[in-house]
Amino acid sequence: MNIVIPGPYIELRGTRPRDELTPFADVLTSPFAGSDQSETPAASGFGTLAKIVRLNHLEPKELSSLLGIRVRRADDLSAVMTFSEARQIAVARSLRLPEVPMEWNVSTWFPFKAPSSLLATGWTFRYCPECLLEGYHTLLHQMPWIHRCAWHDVALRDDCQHCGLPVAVKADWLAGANLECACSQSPLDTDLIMRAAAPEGAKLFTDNYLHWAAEERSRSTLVIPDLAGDPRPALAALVEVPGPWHRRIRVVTDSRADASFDPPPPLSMVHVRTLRRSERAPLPDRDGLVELEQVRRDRPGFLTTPKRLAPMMSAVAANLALCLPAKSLTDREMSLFLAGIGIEAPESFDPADRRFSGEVSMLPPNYIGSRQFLNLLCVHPCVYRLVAGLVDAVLEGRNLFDFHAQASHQEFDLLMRGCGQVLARGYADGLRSTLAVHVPELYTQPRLSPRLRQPWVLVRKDSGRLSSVRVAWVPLSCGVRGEAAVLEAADQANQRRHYSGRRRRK
Amino acid sequence: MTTSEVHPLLRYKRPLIFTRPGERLAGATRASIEMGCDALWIEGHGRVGKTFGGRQLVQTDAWRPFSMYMTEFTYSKPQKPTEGYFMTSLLTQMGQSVAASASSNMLLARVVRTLNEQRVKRSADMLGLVFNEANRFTSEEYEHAMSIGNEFEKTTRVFYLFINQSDAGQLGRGDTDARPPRHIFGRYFINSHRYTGLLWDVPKDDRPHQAMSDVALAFLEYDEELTWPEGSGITFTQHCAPKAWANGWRLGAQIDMIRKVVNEVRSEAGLPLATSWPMLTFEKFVYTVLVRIAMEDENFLELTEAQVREVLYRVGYLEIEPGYEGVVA
Repeated sequence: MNIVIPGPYIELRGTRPRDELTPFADVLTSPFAGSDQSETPAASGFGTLAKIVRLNHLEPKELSSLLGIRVRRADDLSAVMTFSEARQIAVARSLRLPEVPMEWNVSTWFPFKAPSSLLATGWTFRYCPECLLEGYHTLLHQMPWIHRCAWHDVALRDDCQHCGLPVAVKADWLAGANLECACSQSPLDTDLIMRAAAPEGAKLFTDNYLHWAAEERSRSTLVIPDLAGDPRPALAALVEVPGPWHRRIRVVTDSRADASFDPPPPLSMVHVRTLRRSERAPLPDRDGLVELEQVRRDRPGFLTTPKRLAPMMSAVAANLALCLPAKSLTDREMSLFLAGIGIEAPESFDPADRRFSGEVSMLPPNYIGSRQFLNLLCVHPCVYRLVAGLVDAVLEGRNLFDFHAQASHQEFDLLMRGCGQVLARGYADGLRSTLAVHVPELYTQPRLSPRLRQPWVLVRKDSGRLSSVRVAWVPLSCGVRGEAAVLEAADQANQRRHYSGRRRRK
Repeated sequence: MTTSEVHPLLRYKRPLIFTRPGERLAGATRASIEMGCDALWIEGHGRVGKTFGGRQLVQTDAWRPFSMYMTEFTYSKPQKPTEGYFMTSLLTQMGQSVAASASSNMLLARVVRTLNEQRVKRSADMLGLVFNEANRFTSEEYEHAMSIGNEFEKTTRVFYLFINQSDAGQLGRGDTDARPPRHIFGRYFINSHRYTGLLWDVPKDDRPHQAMSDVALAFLEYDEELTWPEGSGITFTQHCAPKAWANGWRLGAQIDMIRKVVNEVRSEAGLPLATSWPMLTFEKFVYTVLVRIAMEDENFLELTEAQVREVLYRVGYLEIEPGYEGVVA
């Protein structure tokens, strides 16, 4: 007992400057293992939470007692930590952070103005397997226009890399095994996440990305359609990342981690069109925007087509009529479809063996005097309401009078072309869908087969001037009902809205 | 005025200095680690500077045989020394949030993970945990410390420094049983180190390396090593007694006179000749001499015997000396 081990002669004087010595004990300042934010820059709220839960061996019930967040076991914790501001504040407080880190806010990562809730529809936890293995997750990897990890060069995943099941992000786990899949594999490695460092290159890239996104956000606004569905396909098509990053984060190439996996789903079903300011724009018709105000009504019925857009609508009707299979339209219906472009039916035209249909005759643009009227009943409301949204995004709270006074005629022309582009394609979709009830052969023709699509628009301004309008068309799911039934249901919803609005006004 | 603008001797907590007792502790710790021991039992009277000796080890790494993450804990005296209490105490001292309802095995896992995270972040090979007031440990606390050691043993190694105040309890080893269970005894009670105050004479073993006494070296810290403002080269003694400094006066220059007065004071109180000087009263002595005497008297040139005697009484030199029984009223 009490063996005194003779120690070597050690001199500490001279090994360390005196002013580096402190009379105070070194006390950790972070309240949980793995909660030091400075070492994982730009980490997401969920990534931080997942790391803390794993390193501190926390159980789901301790989310409430230690981190101040109440969730149900069935809740997707990644969605909760991304979209619930209250939960983010609670966790930030528990981690003794002065405020919620801006990188936890999903809209910080958007290169356009839009609310964070935009991504809530269709949310799926998406990650880089190599980053997550080290306990690092960033909301950059949730952005639909990013397909690869910029610093690991591997494809992002939203499933278990071992069995393909969805990632176990629910608030339900066994202590020390959060995110562990049913196949017993975990995307987190406890030993690796103790290092608590962001992967090499992550800080530089995320800093550059956030800088770029902030600059873009000051210029671009996303116009979200009414009753928007899953935004990811549209956003993936709309957002254009800077050229040098394109290969690093978007292009799908064979690489070590994803060689055996399928590439991300193609975006071929999404059509994108970019309109830019034209120096040779015609002089504006100032009444155009006033006429478009009609689309703001609950049930707009007929639109007095602005003169600038009338030829576009006429062309849509005429082009479709000329492509229809034989015996689709009667003589009279055909002449109504072609009236807008002022031509007669071709000699090869073979009229339908049925009686003139009042419903079909109302589909092409109608004319009273020199004015064109467009039947909006055959246009899905998400299309014409988006036109209103587009106008609002460009006007930015200004009234039409001010806009006319301040905007150049090139800007005005671009806005009108953008509205026309949205309206014309929506009208074309609606025409095909409604006509298909009378002409079932349309379903057999790939180009003419009925389909409804939802437009998403990215409006960009440079130096305060509207410079481009980028439109993405995303297929609208109609289920088993069929496109015409969807249009009819949308109109009935408009009617109900119209009547309830009228009652409110009374 | 912010703290950094105030001279370190005038701050609410005065600076740490390197001391020979601390260096001897470093040597003993290094030898124990190299030998493969699990712990070093440090004993010493109250106020000799054990805590700051331990802190000196935490803040320096030249003595370490392997790369280490070191941290220090202190321990209170619970009614019931449960594992949950022990682990919660460690986590709380590391600034960690702890739920009241957490089970002890989860808390153990958290302690291990938290310490291991710090170790891994520093790329250290092993851990060193300094337990202050280990005299408050019962054999149950040693069991808990062993649980932590067992967890670390799977992947790395932990070395404990148990700092005991030998005059704090009744049973010598704090309140621990005179003979703890063998598995605990074998791990933690084998090696010990006697921590002393600053020695007046150089111990025999140190003579080949050490020319000056511990007290002289400690005075040298104020005379030559501690400077303020940073990078100015103005030592603490020079700052407080500029005129005396210019005349060649140093704290260490009067060490023989100080020792003589110390021994006189001791003999008047019925105490034997001084062998060591507890850090508590030494540091207060230096503060009083430099700040209250030299700094307040611009004509100060050197200490007188009367001043040294008065300072010794003022800093309570006798009160903490073992064997002192007070003045008869």
